[in-house]
Amino acid sequence: MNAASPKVRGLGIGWRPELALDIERRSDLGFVEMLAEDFDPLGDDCLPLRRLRNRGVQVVVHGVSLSLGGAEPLSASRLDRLARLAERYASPLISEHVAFVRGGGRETGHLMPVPRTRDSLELLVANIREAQAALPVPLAVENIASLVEWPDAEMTEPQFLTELLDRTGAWLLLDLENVYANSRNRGFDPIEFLEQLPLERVAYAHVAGGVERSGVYHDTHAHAVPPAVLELVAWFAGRYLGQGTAPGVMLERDDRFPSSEQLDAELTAIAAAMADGRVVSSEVPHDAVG
Amino acid sequence: MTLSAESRERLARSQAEFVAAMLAVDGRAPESFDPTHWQAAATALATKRRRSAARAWPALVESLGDEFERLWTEFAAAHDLPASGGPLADGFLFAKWLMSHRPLSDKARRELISVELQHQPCAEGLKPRRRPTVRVARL
Repeated sequence: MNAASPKVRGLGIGWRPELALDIERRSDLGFVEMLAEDFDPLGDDCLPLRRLRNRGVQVVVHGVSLSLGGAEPLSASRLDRLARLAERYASPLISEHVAFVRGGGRETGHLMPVPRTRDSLELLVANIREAQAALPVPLAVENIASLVEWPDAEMTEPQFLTELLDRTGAWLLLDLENVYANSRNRGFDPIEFLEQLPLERVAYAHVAGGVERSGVYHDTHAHAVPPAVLELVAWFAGRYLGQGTAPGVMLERDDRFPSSEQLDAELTAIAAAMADGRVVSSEVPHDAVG
Repeated sequence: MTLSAESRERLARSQAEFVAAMLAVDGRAPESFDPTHWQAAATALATKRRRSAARAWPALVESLGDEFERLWTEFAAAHDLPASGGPLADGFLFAKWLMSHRPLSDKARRELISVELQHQPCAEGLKPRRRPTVRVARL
């Protein structure tokens, strides 16, 4: 269990075609994350990703459709796609989610929460072990944001995640925005939550933005990263001071893409929060909330 | 402790019920779930599906103008998200469904053709064409 953490370090961003030029121009990226479902594993190289790879930027393969929390059998072709892309781009890590995405043969197209019960944990352990056996590099699993929770939980989310990671040896993709979103909607303290997680199991972290509508905070990936999430980045980075390098932190943006200046300012703010635990407010006005 | 077959079955059933309720047009929460949270989640999910498909088919959406949302809602209520091909496949099936009711604009038609050059329909939705349909030779 003391295997060295996969080397995902520095500032990162989710690679999207709409952001490809801005990403190419950014000189301080340690890694990018590619969405497996957007690529043909047997197709031609994605040249922008290949150029990033050639200049030393790590490429992490991230899946959204494996449904590790689901009772339906894991798909061999989805596992194969993850494996092939990881090999193609020499990824240090593959990541997926503590979630299910389909049930009764129907797709939701989104990450659904699992019940925090013993049975659900056992199902996840079995699926994660099966995935690990099929994949060429270590696997990290991500905590999700959800507006709904199953009733009759038998354990807290930190307890659930801790035991899951302990039983499987999987790494944690710590999504700080998801912790923040859940903390806002359910009324708990995000730092107290984070303090209960095995932070030595974190391979890398996500940040993203969201928006409040009618009293509900939505993790949209379509708005600026809130200052409160940048504070969590600073807290997170601060926990690793004196212990060697902190895990990488990346921005996820999927929609309502910002201007180049806004994106640059946001990445710079994240890097600043990582570097010295200081929250720097972006000097460029945030895009409108709404 | 490993998962018994009965427990796996039980989980499969509860997940199937969860998904069916989440995709249902009436947005009604299953028993024991908070109805307000459920409604917000179901609405957000439907919005995500529509926005994702729209992003993949901008010419089609533009050609429908104000009618897009109504037509999309009708289509989505009767057609599940395809298992393969994501929002591109979803919009493709929407375009095909539309064409059975009315003609597409020229721009939307061209957009459909360009997608068909790079992808082929399959049982689960769309998948990439491995061999190019059209090669352009430099003369």
